[in-house]
Amino acid sequence: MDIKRDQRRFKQIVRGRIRDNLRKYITHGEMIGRRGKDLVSIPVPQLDVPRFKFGKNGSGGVGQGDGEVGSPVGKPGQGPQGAGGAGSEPGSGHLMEVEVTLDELAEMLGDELELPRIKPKGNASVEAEKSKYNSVRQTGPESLRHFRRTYLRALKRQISTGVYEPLEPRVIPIKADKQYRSWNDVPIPHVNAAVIYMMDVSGSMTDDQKEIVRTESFWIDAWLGSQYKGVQRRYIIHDAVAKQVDEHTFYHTRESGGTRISSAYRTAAQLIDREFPAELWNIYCFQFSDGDNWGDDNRQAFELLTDRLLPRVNLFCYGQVESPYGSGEFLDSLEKQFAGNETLVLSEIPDKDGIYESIKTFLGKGR
Amino acid sequence: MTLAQKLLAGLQTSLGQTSVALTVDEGAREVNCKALQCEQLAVTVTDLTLETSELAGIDLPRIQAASQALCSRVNYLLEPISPIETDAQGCTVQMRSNPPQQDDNGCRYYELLLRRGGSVALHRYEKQPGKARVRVPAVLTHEVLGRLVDDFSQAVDGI
Amino acid sequence: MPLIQSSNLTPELAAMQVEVEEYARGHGLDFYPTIFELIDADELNMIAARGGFPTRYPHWRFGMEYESLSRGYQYGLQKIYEMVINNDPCYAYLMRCNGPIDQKLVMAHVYGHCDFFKNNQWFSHTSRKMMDETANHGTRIRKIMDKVGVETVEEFIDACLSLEDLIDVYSPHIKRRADRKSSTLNGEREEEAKKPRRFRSKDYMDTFVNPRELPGEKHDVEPRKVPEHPERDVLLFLLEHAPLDGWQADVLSIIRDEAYYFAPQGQTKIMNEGWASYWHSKIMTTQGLTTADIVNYCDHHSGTLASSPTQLNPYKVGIEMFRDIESRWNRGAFGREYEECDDDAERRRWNTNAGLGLEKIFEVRRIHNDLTFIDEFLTLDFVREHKLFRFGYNPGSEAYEIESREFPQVKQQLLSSLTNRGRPLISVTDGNFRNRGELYLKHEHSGVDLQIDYATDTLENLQKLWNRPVHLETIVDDTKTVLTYDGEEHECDYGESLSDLFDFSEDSED
Repeated sequence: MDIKRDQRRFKQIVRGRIRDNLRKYITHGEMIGRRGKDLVSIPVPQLDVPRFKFGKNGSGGVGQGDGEVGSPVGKPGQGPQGAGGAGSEPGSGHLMEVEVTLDELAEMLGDELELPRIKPKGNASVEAEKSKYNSVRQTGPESLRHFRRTYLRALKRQISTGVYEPLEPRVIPIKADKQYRSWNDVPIPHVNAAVIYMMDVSGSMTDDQKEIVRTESFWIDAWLGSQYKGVQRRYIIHDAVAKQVDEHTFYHTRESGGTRISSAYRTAAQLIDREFPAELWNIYCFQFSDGDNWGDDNRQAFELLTDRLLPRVNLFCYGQVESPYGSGEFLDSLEKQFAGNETLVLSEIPDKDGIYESIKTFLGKGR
Repeated sequence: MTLAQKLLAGLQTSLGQTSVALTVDEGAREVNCKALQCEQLAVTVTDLTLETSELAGIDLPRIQAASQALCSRVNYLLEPISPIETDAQGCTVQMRSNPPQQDDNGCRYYELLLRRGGSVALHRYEKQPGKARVRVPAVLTHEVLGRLVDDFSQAVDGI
Repeated sequence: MPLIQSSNLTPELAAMQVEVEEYARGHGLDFYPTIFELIDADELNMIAARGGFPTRYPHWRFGMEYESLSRGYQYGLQKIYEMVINNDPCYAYLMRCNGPIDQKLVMAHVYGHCDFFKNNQWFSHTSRKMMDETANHGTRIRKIMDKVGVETVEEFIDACLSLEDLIDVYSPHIKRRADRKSSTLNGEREEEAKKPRRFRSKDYMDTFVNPRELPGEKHDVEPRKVPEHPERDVLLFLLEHAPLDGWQADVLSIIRDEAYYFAPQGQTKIMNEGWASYWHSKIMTTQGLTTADIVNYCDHHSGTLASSPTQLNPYKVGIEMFRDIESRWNRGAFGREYEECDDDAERRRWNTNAGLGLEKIFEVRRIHNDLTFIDEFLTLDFVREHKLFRFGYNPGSEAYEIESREFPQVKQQLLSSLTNRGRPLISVTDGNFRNRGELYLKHEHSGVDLQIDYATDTLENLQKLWNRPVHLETIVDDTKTVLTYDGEEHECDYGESLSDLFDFSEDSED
């Protein structure tokens, strides 16, 4: 029955909505629910065709039942007219759960953050950088695009091209602003990839920081998963001592020992030696800490980085989160020690809103 | 005279001075106090440390117990203190304000370090958003300083 | 899915239909031939998503409704017990999974609806061949999509849907489209070069008789007033005057036709559901049930009549109102004498054995819509007995709260929300605003402000059709406000006072 056609069209539009709001979903990763190995569910506000309608101060009505004057009532439904039949509005304010595959999500992420495709090292074929963003997708939620977004994009464009005159602010959104960028289909090289997550679980790292790490690693996994066929994941937690654990333990452990980052580096290096010979593997490391490393540990940590980690990995990313005590000096020390090193990427993640930039920083190199 | 009394006496003689550095001792214990200013009402302290060799051979469980005790005694500062991290290797317990003082301009907290070796030390830190963490002075009354030194001593006694 | 030509009922259900139909006619219900179709839950969702029609023009909103219904997100209280199509013949759907008692109840309920559609005067102008017409609409739009492109048409439909409420539900008949060739304002603009007509007049009258030009306007042409009177059928106005391509006018007129078809259903929800509930209750209790069935029946029946704290249950209020009317007219509790009686006890005892109840409710179902129904028949006793209250949004506590149980307040709120199906009253007042072919709409403010962000978005859609600047005059926070969209930018004129525009103290030039 051709309602399926309408349903497909609707889903297409909803995907557009998700793209439009991807930044919000990146920041609030907890909104995304897992639905099996390759599926996630994303809450999306129901689509609404704009109409002339009454505002909040007119959304009262008549109800029936018990209750004193002044007592609260639940959120009203559609009012005394009820719903049903065409001619009534789709439920505004309701949320719908939409299912999206991880690969689709990764694609949206790539578009949004303008991520270059990864160039794996070794024998895999190297994709030309030019393969991205050549085709312009014609479909998209044109009809639902809010005016202001198009306006802002046009404005940004005008400013960046030097066309904008603040005294004569007539911003004209041209058609190019309204189009979506998309991939050309490129074959994914069959190479090996492994990602090692390291997290500081010492006393100063609280649940809020873990949430940030969890959100960020979700997006990193989605991205890497779209760039490689099958990615091996490993998790290492540490305080003064490091150990390799499973994903669940990774997010649910809290120790009270002091922070010695070198312990994590050592364990990671051993792991790589054992399981991922560098000639055959594309290795990615993501480390998160509040940067409060104990005393003399920096020296050992830097040695391990220099000798055993950086030479072997495609990318080593350090994200410094903020504990209730702010964040420490580790990032600054790394910056000084390893200035100019292309393999090491540093990023500060002061709060949830920093996740977006951090992902962009980490994944923006195409390594 | 106890250590605390000695320190207070020393502070009295330093009233009105800036860049004060005081040291008093009693037996194996030595108290160092550095302050930017020493006034009648309060002292702007940058460093308060009790050092002693009595903690030389101490094991971790005893240091931990001592830090717990210290935290429950020191309940008269701006924020309550609790143990946050324990470094087994260095046999040190780090105690901090819990929760730290937080506002739009960042956070502020005390840090107490109890070390085998050893020492008990008090510092205060501030972390403004976008800037690195810095040590800041703690403004303490003479009375509070006295109590602190007493409590430091008690902590060592208890080990 | 092909158009339903004949019913697929099982022999048992077919026999049941004959039985129930006989009861219905026996009670005086009058309806077109009715066809029941047996379907499963998924098919019901598909049909419900399309407003009860098996086929509609292609559009994502139907896909969205279907998606939502499939996942069980229900709108309000209305569960889809039945969908009845206002058509000749009437179509109705039965769920395969329902037991016989439920099927019987649904059938009885359906005949109530069919009678209502046929006899209520507000439906008298609706098409009774809508089944065929929706299919036809679908075909036409698909053809247009083939020619012009799916997305282009879809975008245009989105814009039209934004405006589909802007019809005149109170007009006695649906105005037919005027001849387009004769009056395309925008198209004729360029050829205009008329000299302004000036009347001879006394000096002091001159500014009134010969209106001064607006500042900055050097036009010599006298502004033409189109429309002559404010036009609530905005869609018609657009059809007649907007610079639409042929296919666009086609699509818009389809949307308008469908809007007019569905409009009376929006205006009579309480009555219609009440009427149908009244009859299923009567038929089932007097004729349809064995004692064993009563329990099942009560269960289903009470489901339809269950209340939610915020939403008025149209089934419940409707049926209670009809019963109330029947009872009052049976005992003569109406008319001047009764109204003037102050004594509560006496009013309650009142009984002249008039026996006019049944006759009255049949009359009521013929001539009233929800607004007049409530206005005339909602009583203080009813409000008290059924614990009706008025609620509103309290910005202080950011919650909806009960505001009053007083009869005048409750009635007034109900009447407000029923006026124009709960939508703002908006008319075209000028199709040649500023003598530049701009479109000027006015919101007839009745105490409630518009949702401004929705309004600006809707204006964008309006401008897509009108092509030139569009304006909406309304009131915001007790201040006259004019929203404008010219295709690129939004403007908001807040607090502009008319006296700034016209200065009547100066002499006019002549």
